[in-house]
Amino acid sequence: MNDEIFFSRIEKIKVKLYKIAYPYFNSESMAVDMVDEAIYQAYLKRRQLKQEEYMETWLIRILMNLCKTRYNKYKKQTGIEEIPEEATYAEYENLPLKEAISKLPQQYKEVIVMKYFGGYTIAEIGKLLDIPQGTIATRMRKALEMLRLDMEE
Amino acid sequence: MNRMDELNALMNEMVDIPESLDINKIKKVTKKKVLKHRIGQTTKGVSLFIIAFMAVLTVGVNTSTVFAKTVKEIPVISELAKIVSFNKGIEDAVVAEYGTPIGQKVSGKLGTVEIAYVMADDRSLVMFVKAYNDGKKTQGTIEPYEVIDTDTNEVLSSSYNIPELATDGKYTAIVYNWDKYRENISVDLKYEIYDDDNTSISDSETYSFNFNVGEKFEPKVYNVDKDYEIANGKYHIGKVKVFPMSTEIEVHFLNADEVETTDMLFELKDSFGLVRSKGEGLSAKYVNDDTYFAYVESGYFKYQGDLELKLVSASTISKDRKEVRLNLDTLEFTDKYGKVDEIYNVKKEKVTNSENEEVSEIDFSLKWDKDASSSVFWIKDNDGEYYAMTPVSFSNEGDILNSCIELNDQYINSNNEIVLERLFAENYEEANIKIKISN
Repeated sequence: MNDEIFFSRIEKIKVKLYKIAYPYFNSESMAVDMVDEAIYQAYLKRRQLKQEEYMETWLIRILMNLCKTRYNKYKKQTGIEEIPEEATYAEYENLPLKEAISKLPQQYKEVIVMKYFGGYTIAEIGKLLDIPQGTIATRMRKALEMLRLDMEE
Repeated sequence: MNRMDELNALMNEMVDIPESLDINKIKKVTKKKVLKHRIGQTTKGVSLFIIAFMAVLTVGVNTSTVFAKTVKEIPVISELAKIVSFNKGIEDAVVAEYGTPIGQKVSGKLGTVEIAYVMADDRSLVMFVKAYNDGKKTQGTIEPYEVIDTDTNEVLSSSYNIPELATDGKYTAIVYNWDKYRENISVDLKYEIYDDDNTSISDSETYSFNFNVGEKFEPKVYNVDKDYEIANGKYHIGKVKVFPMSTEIEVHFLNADEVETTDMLFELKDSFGLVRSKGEGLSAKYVNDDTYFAYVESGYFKYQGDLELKLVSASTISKDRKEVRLNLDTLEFTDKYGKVDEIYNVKKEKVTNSENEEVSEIDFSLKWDKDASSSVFWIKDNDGEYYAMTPVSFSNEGDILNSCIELNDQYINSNNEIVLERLFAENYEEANIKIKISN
């Protein structure tokens, strides 16, 4: 893939990349850092991508991995504690939603982020994360329940 | 505010997309990171380049007296020649007045930076830069942060020196090695100034310039067309091209399937036996798997007599020894033929890295008497990609090189091994191959 094609595809998905990275840190600069790093890693390995139509999937995966890794490090540095799966809502009901999302356990956070910020359907998230659709749906239900978000799929 | 309102508010926070996600900025950031990555990979090369550079500097000083005297009466030329006397080819190009006056000045908070003259051939772009600041003296370094060919909009990435620049109106020379001559250029020069103690960078600013590099001088071309054998490598030397600032030697590797060449060193002599240019063994430009161009400084663009090209030495490695495995259980480096003898003193250590994180690394020593130009290893990650492998530290103690590899899950395979690509030589041979090249 040459530079021109690579960056023209980036242009189309950069906003989506930013919106996916943002809720991890609730910080514009950290989200931009993540997007820059994901694009850089994709650029280095762009010759490995045989089918250009998979570029979005591939970049989202790179970005999600980076966000997860960076978030884990950030969590240790700042002493953030995730919301335990078994926690009762009363224990964190005063937490603003944006903080609650970033403190969700990893598997719940990624489905929320992909759906509400990336705009992907359950089926697309399943393909992107390489996880059965049923599992994604279960995680989504649990995540919405933890956030007390009442929405329909 | 209920949870739905909160969700909408959060989405609204992201309506304004940051300016830094402008695609041109993304391109810049990406290319800059790629450049850093490449520079990282060649840290060893750079440090050895400096050693080679010092050697060449001595040669340059010893042989440049005549030229220095010749141009003494021409103040600017003399001044420019003096600052590039480390490179015979560039110095001679200045003396021959191949430079193009540019005289572009850009002012900023750190003063005014001027690109006064430039010279270009197929190998290098040399920019003579000076700076002023209303009599205030600030000192720092100047770096070609981004160079763009404005005819094609290609962002160039290459190797360059980072000279010091003070706002005292004295010239400094930036030598930017590129892959071919380009006519119209835009350059962002990053000026970083030191604090009062000259111990750290206190401020920086980028100055942008656009200019035409001036006339391209066509090289003098000589056909050698002969085969040579050295250090298990078989070579065919094709054309030798003498440019104003450097000389290019076309080398074909005849047994590239079996042997990889890690370094070759050439030098040029004139008919009086005067060595005016040593080879920069590191500056080879690979064209494909079996052809490359080596460069030596020139100094012979106007010279009319016969020249002698000498193939001084070569270093090679057999292709089947390229893959090396580091077993993290036994801490042994092995290749197809067993333990890699050159590596010893292998230890696993826990250290704190620059980001204040505790990491594990493998320290090792390497016998380093056969090679002076390559890195030690590249690491192959679990996707089979050669990843940004940079041994994190180097220290030379005679012919021993101490190095280390920071451990990263991305590199460690299911057998608890790291797969490496060996870059240091197996064979080294000094030769005395003399090739006469005539007009």
